[in-house]
Amino acid sequence: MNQSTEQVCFRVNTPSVIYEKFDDELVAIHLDTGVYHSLSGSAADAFELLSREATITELAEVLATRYAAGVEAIQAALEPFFLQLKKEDLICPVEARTPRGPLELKNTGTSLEFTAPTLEAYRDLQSLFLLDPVHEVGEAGWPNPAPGAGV
Amino acid sequence: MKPIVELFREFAEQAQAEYGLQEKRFSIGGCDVRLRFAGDRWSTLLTKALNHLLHTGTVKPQGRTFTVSILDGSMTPANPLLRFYLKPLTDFWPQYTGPRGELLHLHGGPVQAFYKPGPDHLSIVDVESDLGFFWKRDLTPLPYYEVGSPLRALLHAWLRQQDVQFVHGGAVGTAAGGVLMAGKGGSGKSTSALACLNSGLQYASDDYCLVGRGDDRQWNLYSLYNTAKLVGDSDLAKFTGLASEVWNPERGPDDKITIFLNESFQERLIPQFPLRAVLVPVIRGGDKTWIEPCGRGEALMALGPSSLAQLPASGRKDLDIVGHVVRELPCFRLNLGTDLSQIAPAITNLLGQINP
Repeated sequence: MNQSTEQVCFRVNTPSVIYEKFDDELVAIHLDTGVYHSLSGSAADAFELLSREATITELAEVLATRYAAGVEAIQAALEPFFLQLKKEDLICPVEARTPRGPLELKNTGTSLEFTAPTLEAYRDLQSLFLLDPVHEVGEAGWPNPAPGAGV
Repeated sequence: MKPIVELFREFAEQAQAEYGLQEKRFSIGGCDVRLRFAGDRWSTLLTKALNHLLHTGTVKPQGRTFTVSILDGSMTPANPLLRFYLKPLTDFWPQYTGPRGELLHLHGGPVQAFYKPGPDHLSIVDVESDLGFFWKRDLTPLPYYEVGSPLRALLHAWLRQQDVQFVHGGAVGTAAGGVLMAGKGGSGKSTSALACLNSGLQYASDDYCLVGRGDDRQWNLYSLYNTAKLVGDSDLAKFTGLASEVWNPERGPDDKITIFLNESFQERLIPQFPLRAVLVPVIRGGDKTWIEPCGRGEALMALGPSSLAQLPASGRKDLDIVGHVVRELPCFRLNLGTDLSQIAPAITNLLGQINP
């Protein structure tokens, strides 16, 4: 990721992406792809901060107040994480930034052990989330449903 | 009133006059729901899963009434506008629908509309006028999952406006309280719920049920469908007394065994109970079943995505409500052993500890 990318501001891809966070765990669902995700630790914190729009550098600075790692190390760990988030279409670049106050984490705690953020993707419910004519229509063709379609 | 809703309202009145109005009233999630059929073609099939919630006449409905008219393609709308709308919709539905079946040109605001190919039906709900319409394009048989869990999209879209939320889980309990067993298909929900059928616990659900806050702001669980679904004969063999109750003995190779419990196990069903805990079933090796606390994140992963998956109108609000349920109730992992007789005692023991 080059310097200019580091300065690109991203946000959570709402309303297609919805999420819920408990303590250190976050579940995100992409309603348009049917893929859902589990994030924990620094990944959950970073994702929640992205709901308020942030660059990688800004995220790293905030995460460094909670985790026992330097801004540069966190930034380096965030770069592949951002690639994953973009690949899953969970975040999108912000064209014109919305004015906001300083980013801060809701959770308490400092000097926590830092583990590089990761993203787990679950695709087992995609066929249930999405209207899928390939699966909905059986070999006999339209309009005969495939066995088990929509179960 | 929105044009498409008005067109369908006229069509429903016309068809009901022509074929004869049949109406059935249900108490669903504490709300009054009227299903209005034109003739008797669908009135038996589409209500088998709901018959345990039929109004007895002793329950005074509270709040608003949702009126759903059921129609099909053998009935011709008198209004040419609707005829001209339905024909291209059903022939070229991919041009009209979004990724989840939402009809893009109708969807939004108080009106939500979905087309489902395969079973080939259109669902329209107007949450302002409390009207819903279910139109099946042809007279081909409904697949087992549409009979077992009928009118899902319509009921979900309207009930959510009444703060009654669809959740995907099995549920058992007593009038004093019960549990919701969360998880996607194959996680053990159905087996666990059916394993409690002949215990001191009563059965509310094996897949879809409803949650809503009572007057005391505590969560109540409401039964929705009295359907039990099992994957195959080996599952069926685990439960005595069910084999003779199978609704679809002649079924496709991928169809689930479907049983309507209201028909022979009515006294074992419970329409609602105070919800005390969320359980996450996990199938383990060995005989033993045991329950242990689990994290709320694990419970949300089990309950959230699968609850939203088969409901085309689901979104932010659904996940918010599911999040509140998981946040406010204790969450446990239900470790399932192969000895099914241990499941009901384990849940009963847990309820003995957490029921007030």
